[in-house]
Amino acid sequence: MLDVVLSFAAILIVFLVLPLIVGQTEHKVMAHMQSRLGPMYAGGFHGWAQLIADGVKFAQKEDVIPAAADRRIFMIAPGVALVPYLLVLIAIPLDRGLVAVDLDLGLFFVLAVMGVGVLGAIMAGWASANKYSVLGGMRSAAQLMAYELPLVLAASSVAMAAGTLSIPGIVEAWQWWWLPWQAIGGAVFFVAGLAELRRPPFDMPIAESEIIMGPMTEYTGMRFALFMLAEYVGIVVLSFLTTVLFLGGWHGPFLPGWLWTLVKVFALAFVVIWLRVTYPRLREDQLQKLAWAGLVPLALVQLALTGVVKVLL
Amino acid sequence: MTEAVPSYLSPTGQEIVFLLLGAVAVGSALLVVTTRQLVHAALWLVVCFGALAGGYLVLTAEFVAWVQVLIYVGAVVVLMLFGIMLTRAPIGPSADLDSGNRVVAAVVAVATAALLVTVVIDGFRTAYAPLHPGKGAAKELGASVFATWVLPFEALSVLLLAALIGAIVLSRTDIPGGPPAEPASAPPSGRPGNSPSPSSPETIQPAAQPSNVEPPPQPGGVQPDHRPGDVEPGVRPGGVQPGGRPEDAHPGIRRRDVQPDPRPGDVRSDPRPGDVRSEARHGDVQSPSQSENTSPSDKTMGSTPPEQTGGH
Repeated sequence: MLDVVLSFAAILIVFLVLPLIVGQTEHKVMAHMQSRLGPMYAGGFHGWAQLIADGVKFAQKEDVIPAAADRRIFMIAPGVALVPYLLVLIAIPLDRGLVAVDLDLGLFFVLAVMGVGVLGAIMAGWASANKYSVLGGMRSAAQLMAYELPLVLAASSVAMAAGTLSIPGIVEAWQWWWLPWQAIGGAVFFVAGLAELRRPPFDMPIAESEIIMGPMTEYTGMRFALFMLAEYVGIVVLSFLTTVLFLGGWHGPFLPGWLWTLVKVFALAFVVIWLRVTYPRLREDQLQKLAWAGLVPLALVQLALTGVVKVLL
Repeated sequence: MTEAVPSYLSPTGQEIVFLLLGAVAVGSALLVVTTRQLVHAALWLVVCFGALAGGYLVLTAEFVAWVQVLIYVGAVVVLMLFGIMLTRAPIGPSADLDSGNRVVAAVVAVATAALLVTVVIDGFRTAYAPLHPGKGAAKELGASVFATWVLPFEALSVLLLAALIGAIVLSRTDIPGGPPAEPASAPPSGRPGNSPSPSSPETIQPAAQPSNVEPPPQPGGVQPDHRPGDVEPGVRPGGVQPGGRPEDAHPGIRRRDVQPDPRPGDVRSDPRPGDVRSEARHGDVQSPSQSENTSPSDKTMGSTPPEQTGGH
């Protein structure tokens, strides 16, 4: 019982700390990639406390609910967006034996619960009584429907390779030569995951130059902060999942296992930020085309490849 | 299989949780059909599916539970919400959500429930099967599906495949034999989403004409109307946008997904015979959004009052 409490406390801390680190990294990395300095004042040393200051600012702001909005749904939407990612973290192993709940169907659990998160965006978009928000919500829905399929297909390829749906089991079965073998699937998974998070370059649902902030347009204060937190927790979760499914999780020489996991996670989070700075936003038709004409066939090729190699070995 | 039956008067924790989940499922299902708000119905459906998944979990059917969440909550409800928002999604109660058939529907529902409950109770009586975790795990399930039940499984696969191919055939206009397709007249000026529907130019053009600078006044409540110049033809190829507007900012981009239109600029061309046919096919898709204009009592998503549509 104590184990369970401890591991859940640890997850809560991870849940709160890692997104902040990723957010701060994004500030600084983006800034330097664009020949800026980024935050420099808050906290003294290179603006390390910028996000804490942001959090305090958000907490002080007024929580505005538009008069025409559907109040209840408007209010619970940020929670619906955030909680699934918290649930997903309980099934992800940090090291051998270091996982809160070793679910026999962990992979299924993770994919299923992550798919619920987008409901938050749709609810927020609809309940805001704002046409831009509705547009954003619809785009979120369209994007989720398009990218869920390649995501699940790529994940099922690695499950086929490992012969189990348990995430610690998959990491345990991982060998170094899976890197080239599952490379296509890994890329598809990562890209589709990015699209599910609606991160740039897949941020058509919140394209600020045309629909303000999409589903979040009407949100202020803490509720808006919850949406932002959900985005960064999403980055952490996606990086964790790609790490444990495709990059071998805790496997690696010299360093202890949990450190390897974290190193890989942060490398992937860096790539997420890097992609944001590098690529312009995809247009909605390009988004759909990439999913249906690009990622789905690639994921199917990966499935076939996995099957063939698995049978031949 | 049958073991000593514990007393019904001292239910275990599992049984209590199961009962509670069942109550949630039934309650939210009732709300789905009784609520006057369309989007709320879809969201109550999420609660219902969630409670069902919880019920599966309590019964140790983990795999079924997560599939329930993945498919129904994650995909089906999202698809429904997308469809609702594409056609109409007023905030607040809608007057026309009630059906005259509700008494009949209630009778049928109660009768079905009574039949199922009778059969289950009659079939099992006091049979008692203790729950052992792991029976619903992937390994056992996979072994029995692909060993014992492989023939029904394959038959179902073929059924789904047929549905998939059917959907593709229905949605494509450029293959011979597909329903809307005389290849000569297939060009999609008959699709309501891409150019004004030929059958109703006079209802749509007047509203659209006066505004050349900014998006024309929107009929209230109809979501698709709020997207005049959007550059996302991909998501709504057969969409319900009533009448594209000729003075759109991006006519070229909007028509990109369309098969070559002989006269892309001339959207007001006479309806060709094939267009009428496909228009008839899409008519039912379009009707909800048009009927929306007649219910101005809804609190609408946009701020434009509905009467602006009729004003022209």
